[in-house]
Amino acid sequence: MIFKLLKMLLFRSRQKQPQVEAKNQANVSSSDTISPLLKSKLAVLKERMGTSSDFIIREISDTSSGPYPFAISYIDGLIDQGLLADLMESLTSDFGNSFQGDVDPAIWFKDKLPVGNLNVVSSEKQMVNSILEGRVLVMIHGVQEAYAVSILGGQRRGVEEPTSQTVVRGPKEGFTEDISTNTAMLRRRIRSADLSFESRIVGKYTQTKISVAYIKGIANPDVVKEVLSRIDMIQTDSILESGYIEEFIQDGVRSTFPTIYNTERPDTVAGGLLEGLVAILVDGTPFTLIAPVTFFRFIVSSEDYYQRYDLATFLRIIRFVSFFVALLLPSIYIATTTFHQEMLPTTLLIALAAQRESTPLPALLEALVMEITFEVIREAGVRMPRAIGPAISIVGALVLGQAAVQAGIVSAAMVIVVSFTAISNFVLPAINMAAAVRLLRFILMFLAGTMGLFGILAGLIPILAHLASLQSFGVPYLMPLAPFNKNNMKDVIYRAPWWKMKTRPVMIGDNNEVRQSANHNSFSEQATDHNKDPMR
Amino acid sequence: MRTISLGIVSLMFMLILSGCWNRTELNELGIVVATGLDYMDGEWIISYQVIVPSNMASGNGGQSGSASQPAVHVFSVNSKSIHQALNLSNLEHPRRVYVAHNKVVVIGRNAAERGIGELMDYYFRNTEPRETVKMALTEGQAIEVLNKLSPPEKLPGASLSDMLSKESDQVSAYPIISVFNFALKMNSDSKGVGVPVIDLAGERTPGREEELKSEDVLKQTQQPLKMKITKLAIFNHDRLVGFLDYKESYGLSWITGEVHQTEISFPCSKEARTQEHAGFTVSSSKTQITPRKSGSHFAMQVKVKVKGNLTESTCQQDLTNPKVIKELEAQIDQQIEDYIMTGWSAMKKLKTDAAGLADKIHRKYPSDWRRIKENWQDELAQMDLDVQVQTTIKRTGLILKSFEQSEQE
Repeated sequence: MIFKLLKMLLFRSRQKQPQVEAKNQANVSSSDTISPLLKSKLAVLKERMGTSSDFIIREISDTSSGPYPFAISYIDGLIDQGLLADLMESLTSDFGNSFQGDVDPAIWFKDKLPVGNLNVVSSEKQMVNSILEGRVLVMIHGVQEAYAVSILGGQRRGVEEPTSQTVVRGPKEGFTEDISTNTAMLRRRIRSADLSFESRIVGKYTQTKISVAYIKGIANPDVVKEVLSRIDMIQTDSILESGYIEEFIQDGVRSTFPTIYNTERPDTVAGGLLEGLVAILVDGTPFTLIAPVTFFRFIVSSEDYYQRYDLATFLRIIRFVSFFVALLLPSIYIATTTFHQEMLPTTLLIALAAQRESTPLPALLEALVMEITFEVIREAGVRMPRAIGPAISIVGALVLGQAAVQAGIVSAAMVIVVSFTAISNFVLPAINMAAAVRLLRFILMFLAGTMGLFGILAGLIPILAHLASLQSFGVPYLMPLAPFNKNNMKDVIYRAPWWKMKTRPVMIGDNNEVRQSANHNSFSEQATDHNKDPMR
Repeated sequence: MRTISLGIVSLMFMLILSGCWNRTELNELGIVVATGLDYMDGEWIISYQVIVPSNMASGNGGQSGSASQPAVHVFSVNSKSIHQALNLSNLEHPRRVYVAHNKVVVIGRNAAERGIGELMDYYFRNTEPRETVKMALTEGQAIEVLNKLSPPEKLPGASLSDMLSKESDQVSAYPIISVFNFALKMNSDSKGVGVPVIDLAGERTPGREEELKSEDVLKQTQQPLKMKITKLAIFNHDRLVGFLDYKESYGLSWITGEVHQTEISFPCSKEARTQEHAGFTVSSSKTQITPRKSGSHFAMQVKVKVKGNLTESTCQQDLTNPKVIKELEAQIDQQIEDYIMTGWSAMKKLKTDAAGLADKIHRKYPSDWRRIKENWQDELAQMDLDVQVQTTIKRTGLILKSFEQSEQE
């Protein structure tokens, strides 16, 4: 019941989705055919696009350079100006020079126009959409179709190092806001014809491009189908970030635990794809979603796979410890100092008691005040302009930390507990998992403050039960532990060396289990006929 | 939906209104480090040595710990039962007396002579007091031990407890005993228990005793009176029957096999001059007691195996010679046997089986035990001890010859 309460308080239910499809359809629908007359085409465009200042129509009615007047139309800023000049050049001179009256202009366009990607557009809706997507629409008087030329360009952020998930060893490039750059980054890592992208457009107004990536033959086709169908079910007017998609399609809608992983690292996505996961790339954000994922993926960093396995195992254990510290340390501190003093070693108890002598607040309240203070400082640190960063650290560390202890308002031990908890929280590589831990920490603190260790257990057991009940696209959330799977355990608490991980994780990459041939061992194990020492 | 949310809200109130039922903040606790038990005029006098935390910690930002107040506060409560004293303590103490961290319980002589069965009941019946608490006895009133400071330590109770355990580890003459072990031994067949006695060493005058109660004593380098473990009190069941001095108690430790690490000094040879002594540090020892029937009576075979190193020698013999080593080993054997016999006769004099021999007999000869159970004290008086000590000197130290010896050459 407590957990239900917590869920009620914390999670918004999935938003109601009014049936907007019919409206949506009605708005966009228009006649299927377009008039061959240039003037009527332009009239349609002008009517649909209005008088937006970034919408540009260039009409060339001079027939001296060619037999037909034509017009091009595009949105300023979405196209490459240099390529546009080339296009204009060929349209004005080549088209005029080489076009003979007896040739169909459509054939000329298909054969001669010096661009890579050319679409034939045959409806008014397509005309508008191709302009909005950033293509240049070429319309020729007397030709039924229009031609959408893709010369995408404009200002975009370049490929930079990911800021949210940094590594010491490993690729330094991160996804950008541009989906085609992102798909290219994946393609560069997995040069296989089996890597496929399925595209969708979501959002009535934003018309956001979404690409679902998976590797044919590894990913479970049912999961791919499920992901696509859930995306197709989304009816919203805007998708500005992958977080929108995540909330729409995730399984545990009322859970604080994430069931979809997000990352801005192409290597993490590629690793996931190779294990049989499905990635969802969203135009306009560097954060790419991966599903289905289990709890343990949120404790794993992509660097674990680049470093030696022994170090990776050690770091994972550190992260597991940090997970529990971040979740439980303040509540255990509260419980032991207010209910179970006999559990503390005598000298520690005396030291804590001495610090508490002059503190006015009960331990629970003291911890809450400190935790909330920290959350405020943290939020301020994230939101404020970079230039005033040092001010926050001075106020936070000196004024609040040291002064509060010296004034005897907060005990030094509490400051240690809160700061260690906060630092442990940052150890978790996935921010959304860290956020779940942050929220649950407060609930557990309340329980510890009212019922001691009994309260902590009364909180932990429902949390565990909840975790065990979660699923991510059909995969149990605590997968290799519950249900237990020996094979998957190779990459959970410890990471086995690569030559030991011969198969893909069960339940995810079942389709194509073998990662490396079964009798392929480490170099030293198979090196009987190799000379291990080339110096000899 | 309405009922669900109503349920949730009521649950929330249950959580808040239940009001942290037995929550105690640390600054509401009076943490006891030592308890004293005296008996006078049909009433128990329980003394508590309570920590004053603000005078304990060094790195505390809150209060300046400069107020000259000792780190402990001592007070006594009179009551008919031991547990009631905890309750009555709030008549005179502002904090809840918290005994879970008690280190040592000191028993006054009056209480020990009356019997301390109630103390055992109190410890075993309740959850808060721990049975691992160490026990000590004092010849006078227990409060006289508790209200004295014990430099250089800040907490006298902790100092007492550490002293008892260090002594037990390093000297092994007065084996440490916890309330739990006391209860076990008290209710065993032999019923004999040894408890170390703590007293103030030095000439006791009222002025000197007053001095040791004040914090000023911490400013002196040498104190006029000092806490010291002086002897071993022997209990029969829950009542004090007598005392063993250092040598007797040490011998008893050898019989019971409670010697961990100790140092024995012994003459180099039978003929050697008195100042020619050597020191031997025991690194491990093992005692095996086997009851033997001789006629209708019993004899005890005590086999002691000792290993250790030579740590001092003024002997004239040549230590490189294995024969000499054998000789020295025989001397050590002799010395240990001497201790054992001293302890044995002292124990017999008290007519108390503090070595737990009755249990050995009961285990080996259950049917005979039933016969001799009734007159075990007489049986003990007639018992003989057959001592076999086997000492091994593992190392003779970094040098071989003594300095005296090299001078003569």
